[in-house]
Amino acid sequence: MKKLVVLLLTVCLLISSVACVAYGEDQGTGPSYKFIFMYYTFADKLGSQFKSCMEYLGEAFNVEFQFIEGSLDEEGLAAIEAAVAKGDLDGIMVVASASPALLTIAGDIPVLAVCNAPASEEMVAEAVAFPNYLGAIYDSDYQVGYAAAQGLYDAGCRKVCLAGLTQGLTKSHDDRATAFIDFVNEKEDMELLADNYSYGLMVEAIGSFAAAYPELDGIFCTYGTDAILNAMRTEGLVGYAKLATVDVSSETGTYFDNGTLVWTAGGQYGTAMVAFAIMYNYVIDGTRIIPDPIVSMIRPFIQINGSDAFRNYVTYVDSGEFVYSADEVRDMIHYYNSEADYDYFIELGENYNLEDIQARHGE
Amino acid sequence: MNRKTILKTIVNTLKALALPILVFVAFAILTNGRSSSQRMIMTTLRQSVLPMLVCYSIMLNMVVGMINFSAGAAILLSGIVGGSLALATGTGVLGVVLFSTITGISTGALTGFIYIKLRVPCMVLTIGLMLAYEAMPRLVYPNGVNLTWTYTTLAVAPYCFVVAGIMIVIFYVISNLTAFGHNLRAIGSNQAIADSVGLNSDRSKFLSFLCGGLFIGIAAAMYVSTNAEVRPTTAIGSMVIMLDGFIGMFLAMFISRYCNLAIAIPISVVTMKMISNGFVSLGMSATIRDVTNGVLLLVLLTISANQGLFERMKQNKLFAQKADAEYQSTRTQ
Repeated sequence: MKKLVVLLLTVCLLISSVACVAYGEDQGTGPSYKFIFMYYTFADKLGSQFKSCMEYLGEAFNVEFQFIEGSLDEEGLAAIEAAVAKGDLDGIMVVASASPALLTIAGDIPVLAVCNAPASEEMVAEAVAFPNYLGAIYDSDYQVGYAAAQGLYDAGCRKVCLAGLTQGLTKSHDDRATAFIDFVNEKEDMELLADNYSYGLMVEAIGSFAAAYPELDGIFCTYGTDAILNAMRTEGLVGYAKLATVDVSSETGTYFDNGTLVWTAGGQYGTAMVAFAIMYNYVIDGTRIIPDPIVSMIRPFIQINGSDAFRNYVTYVDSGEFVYSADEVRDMIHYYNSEADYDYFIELGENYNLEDIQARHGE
Repeated sequence: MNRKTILKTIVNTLKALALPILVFVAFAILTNGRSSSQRMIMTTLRQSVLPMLVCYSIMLNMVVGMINFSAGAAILLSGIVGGSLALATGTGVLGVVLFSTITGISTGALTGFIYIKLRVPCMVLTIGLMLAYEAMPRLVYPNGVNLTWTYTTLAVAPYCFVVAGIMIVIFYVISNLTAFGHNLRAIGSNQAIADSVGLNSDRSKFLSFLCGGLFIGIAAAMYVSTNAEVRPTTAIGSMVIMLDGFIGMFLAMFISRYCNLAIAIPISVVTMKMISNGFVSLGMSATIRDVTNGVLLLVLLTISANQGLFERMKQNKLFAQKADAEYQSTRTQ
C-alpha cells in the first residue's frame, strides 16, 4: 500500500512538472526570460501604463516581469539585489539613472535606464565603464519644455509664470523648466513674471501667481494633474489665462474644450516599449542597439495641442491599445528583423507622434 | 478690568500684530501695491487655512514637549480614506468632512495609544508612524482619491473661512476653557510637579493626540478639497503637507507671549504666507526667495529665543552695581 501511494505521488509530481513546463512554453513565443522593471509607483497614470505595456509585451515575448516600486535608494537596491541573488534574472530596466551601485549589484545582468535622463555626464561616464550597462533611452524633457512655451506663445500668451517641481529633485522637471525659461528669454515680447518650485504645492503657486499678477495670461506647469487644472477654475483664471502642462489626467479633455489648456504632452510609455525591445535584443542574441552607451537614445513626447488632438490621443494612445503592437515590437528585434539596428530605432523616434500612431493603428 | 490691564492688553495686542503689519506694509511698498490688493489678501488668507489647522494639531503636542512628525502622513491618509468613502457613499462634502475627521481622530488615538504603551520617544515614534501612515492608503486605495468638482467646495471662500473660524473657536475652548488644556500647560511647564500634584500625564498626552487628530481630520478634508486628486506618497513625501504649519508653529510660540495661542497661530501662518506671496509679487527668483525666506525665519527665531537677553544683561548689570555699592559701603564702615 505504501509503495502504491509513493508511486501515485511520484506520478502526480511528474505530471505537474511537465504540465508547468508545457504551460510555460505555450505562453508567448521565444525563449523564456525574466526582467525587472522599477518605477517609483505603479499607482499613478504613467506607472499603470508602464506596467500594462510591460505585461502585454511580457505575454507576447514570454518574459516574466518583476515590478519593483521605489527608487535606487538603499531599499530599492536591496530589492534588486535580492532578485539578482535568485539567479534567474535576465535583465533590469529602471526608470532612473543607472548608478554604479546598481550596475555593481547587477553583475553580468544587463541594465537599461528608461524614461529618465541621466543625472549628469559624470554619472554616464561612470556607468559606461560597466560592460553590463546597455545605455539610456528617455523622452526629451528639454524639447517638451520648449514646445510648451511655444504652445503658450502661439496661443497669444506674453506674460507667463512657471510652476515646477522642487529644483534638483528630478532632472526631467529641471530640464522642462530650463527649456521654458530659455524660450521666454529668446522672445523679446514674452516675459516671465514669476516662477515657483515646490513638491506638491503647485495649486498654491497658481493662486499666488493669479493674485500677484493680474496681467498674467499664461502658466506652464512641469507636470499636469486634475488639481492643477481645477486650480485654474478656483482661481478664476478660466477665460483669462492659458495653461500648458506635461502629462494627461482625467480633466484634460474638459480644459482643452473650454480653451484653458492649450498644450500638453504624454505617451511616455511608448519609450518604455522601445526600451523593452532594446533589452530583448541584447538578451536574445547579444545585439546592442545603442552602440555607444555614452550617447543616450532620446525620443519625443507625444504633443497634444487641442481638443481634436486630445481625442485622437485618447483613441490611439490611452484606450487600451498600445502605441506599439507586439508585431511592431517584434520588428524592432534584430533576431526577427535584420534591419532592426540603431538607425531603425532613431527613425522610429523621429516619426513618433499622433499622426504616426494613427497611421499605423487607424481604421 | 482696570486701566492698567486695559493698557497692557492694548500694548500686547499691538506687539502681537506688529510683525504681520510690518510685513504687510513693507511688501506693499516694495511691490507697489501688488501684495496688498484685495485678491492677494484673500488668496493669502485662503492659503493660510490648511497650515493653520496643521499648526493647531501639532501645537497640542508641542505644549507638552512632543513633536508629531506624522501629522502630514495622517492628513494624507485621512484625506484619501475620507474622500474615497465620501465618493463611495455619495455623501458629498459632509461625507468628506465626516470620514476624514473620523480617520484623523483614529490616527491620533492610535499614535497616542502606541506612545503611552511603548514609551518610545515621540520624535522616533512619529517618524516611524509617518512611514506607516504613508503606506496605509496603498492597502485599500492604491490609486489615491480623485474628487469631482462638487466635493471640493470646502476649499473655496467663504467656506474655508467658516471652517477656519470654527476650528479657532474649538482650539480656544480646548486650550483655555477646559481642565484638559490647563493640564497640558501644567505638564508642559514641569511634568514632575504636575505628576506630583496628581495630574495624569499619560491620559493628558493621549488626549492631546486625540484632539490633535480632530484638527488633522479637518485639515485632511481641506487638503483633499484643495487638491481634488491625492495619491499616496512614500519616503516622507508627506512632510511637505505639514511644513508650513510646522514652521509657523515656532513663530506662533514667539507671538503667543503677547496674545492667546489660539490667536497667535493664525497670525503666524498668515504672516508666513504674506512673506511667501510677497516674494512672489516682488518677482524674485525662486532660489533667492527660498534663501531670503530661510534667513528671515532664522532672524525671527533668533529674536524669539533671545528676547529676554538684553533685559537680563541690564538686570545683571544693575544687580552688579548694587552689590558693588553695598560692598563698598561695608568696607567704609
